Amino acid sequence: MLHQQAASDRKMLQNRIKEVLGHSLHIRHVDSGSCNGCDFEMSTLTNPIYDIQRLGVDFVASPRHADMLLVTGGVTVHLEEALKKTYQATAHPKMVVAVGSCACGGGIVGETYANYGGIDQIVPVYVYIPGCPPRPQAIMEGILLALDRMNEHRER
Amino acid sequence: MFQIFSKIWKTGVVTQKDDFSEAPPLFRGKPVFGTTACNGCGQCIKVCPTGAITLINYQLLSLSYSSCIFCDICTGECKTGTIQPTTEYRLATKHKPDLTITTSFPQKGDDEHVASAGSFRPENAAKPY
Repeated sequence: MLHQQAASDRKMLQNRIKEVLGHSLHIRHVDSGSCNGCDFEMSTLTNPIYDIQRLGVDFVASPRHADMLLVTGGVTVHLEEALKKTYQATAHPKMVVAVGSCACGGGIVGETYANYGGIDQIVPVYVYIPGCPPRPQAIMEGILLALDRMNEHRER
Repeated sequence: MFQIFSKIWKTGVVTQKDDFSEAPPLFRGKPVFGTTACNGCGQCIKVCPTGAITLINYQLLSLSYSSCIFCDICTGECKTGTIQPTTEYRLATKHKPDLTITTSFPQKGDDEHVASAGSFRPENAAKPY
């Protein structure tokens, strides 16, 4: 039963990516001052256990190739410019997903003189994935949610 | 050479079949407000390391998952069992207000056990650090 559910979930994600983008989904990871916990969870997405590439989702090396930005870390003052430049370099539609509690609302670091406390202070965010760090499955769910949201963004 | 192939054959497919399976029973997922009423001791607000638990107008106890780090200290401190630990990890949302849950916070002298615990005032509490 669970397996059938998972199979239909996978099919839904694959179909959704095709429907919305017309091609596979490419992700650029942006570290805006995180502790690397979320980054490790994100890197497990491409390992044999979670294997997100079977769904047509892949991580790319440049924001110019990417459809989606996975941003970790509450934005530190030094990395604010980097995040802004990455956002400007991303192809339309610029889809931003906040991964982890720091990116969602400050988390353990909070809002201080050196930290903006959430990437929604700097760039518009589509999907929030809380967790410290979120499980890889939670990140996958966030990607699926973001694709649902993407249609309404294209209509604008 | 043979050993390598034999190892590959023995390992088999390790990719997870069900993508959104249940977390292990000891996984610290999102804390939720249970059915038991809060007695207003304010311990959860004192111990929360990120300040995710706050009081709104001394009437509502609010818990924000956007700054919660899922340490489960509040669920251990809560004597009445108002804050319950769960293994739920699927928290992704499109709307940030969805990440905040609230429950009613008793006013001073609402009933007996509240009067004994004393309604919590953040300004009177000792700083945890």
